[in-house]
Amino acid sequence: MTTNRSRRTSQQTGTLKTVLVVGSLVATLAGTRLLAAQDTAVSTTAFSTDAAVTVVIPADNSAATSSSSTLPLPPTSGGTQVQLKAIPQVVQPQIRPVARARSSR
Amino acid sequence: MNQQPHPASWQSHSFRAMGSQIVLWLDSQNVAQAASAFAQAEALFANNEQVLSRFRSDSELTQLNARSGQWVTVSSLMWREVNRAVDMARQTNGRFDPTLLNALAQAGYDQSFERIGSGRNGRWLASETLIGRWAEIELDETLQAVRLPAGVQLDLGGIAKGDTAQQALSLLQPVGPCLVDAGGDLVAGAAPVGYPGWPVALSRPGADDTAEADALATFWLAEGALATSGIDYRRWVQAGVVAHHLIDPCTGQPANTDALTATVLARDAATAEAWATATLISGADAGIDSLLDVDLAGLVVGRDGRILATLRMDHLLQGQLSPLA
Repeated sequence: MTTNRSRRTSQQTGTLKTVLVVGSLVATLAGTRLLAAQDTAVSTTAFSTDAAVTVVIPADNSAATSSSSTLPLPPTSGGTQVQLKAIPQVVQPQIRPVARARSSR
Repeated sequence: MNQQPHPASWQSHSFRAMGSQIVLWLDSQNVAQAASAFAQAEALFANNEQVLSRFRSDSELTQLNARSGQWVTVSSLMWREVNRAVDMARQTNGRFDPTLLNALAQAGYDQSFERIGSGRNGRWLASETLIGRWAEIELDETLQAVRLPAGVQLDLGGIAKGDTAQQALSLLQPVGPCLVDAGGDLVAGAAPVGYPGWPVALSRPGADDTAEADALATFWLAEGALATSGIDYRRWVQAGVVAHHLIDPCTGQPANTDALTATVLARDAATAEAWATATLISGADAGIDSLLDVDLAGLVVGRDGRILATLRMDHLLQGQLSPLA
């Protein structure tokens, strides 16, 4: 009985993992496609994290404060600058593949 | 996209064996050592094919199959492969089954794939004669002997090729970082110097081998084996019906699956090969679930175009280099 329940739980967890991973995979494949379109230098590191992004939040936050479900932003005169770390990006090999994984030929 | 050429130290050698194009890669400045290792690996493939091929009348496998129902003392190589096949059948709960040779032959795959014609007549074996016969294989370790159930014949195809690729990798490794491509099943050793792995591509099902756009993804592979089973290539017309080489042990017929290809990453090629077959036969969703149950990395492309992957396979495609950890 315990075994069956454990297995059912495992399968449910597995299905959930699959659902979560599908979205991630689609993003990955889309990401590699985007990068493939770029003509960048060869990189032998898996990730590129050296670039940062600056986001400026407008000082006029009246829209935010009018909403009961949103915390008001601190008052500023020229906007708030938030330094965000760059999102890790996929760096696919820029060198010609030596082999292709595929069904047996 | 412009792509960098391979470094001069990456040497390769290709040849045909076991019905596939084999390509060996070595990262070494020593040309003579590499040539010697390549020659040894090619000889290994030739020897193993002579022992393990079901298409050769004088192979040890053909002789073993001809004596089903009897105890037969076998070579160390045959002993290793039969044990591996039975072990993988046990691990996959029979979804990978090495005892389906009769069903495969009845489906029309009774000679090397290049020679299969179309429009042949055949019949399917009744399912009750097929299910679970691998569990009846008897093994005597003391005598290194095998007894197949009467009427049952072995097909070691994918396991034999995968394990031979693994053995070839062992021959190349003392010379330098290496990779073996056995007809699309890949076994990688250490990463080449200065790179995080060997650059490899994952083909779209049914893709033209040469077209860059036909790759689902390119990524780095090191210290692992990647095997793909699919119904996108080895297929033929049998009695007016399109057949393929992956037999469902439960029916004895080419598997009626919603998966087009299944790719599995494992520590060794035989494990990857067996689980790729089991996953494909199980179907897309159930196949991925079963990979999650045993903590293996895999990806399935469905007939409907869906792509499902485990988290570990996702990590591999994202460039994280230790999906086997």
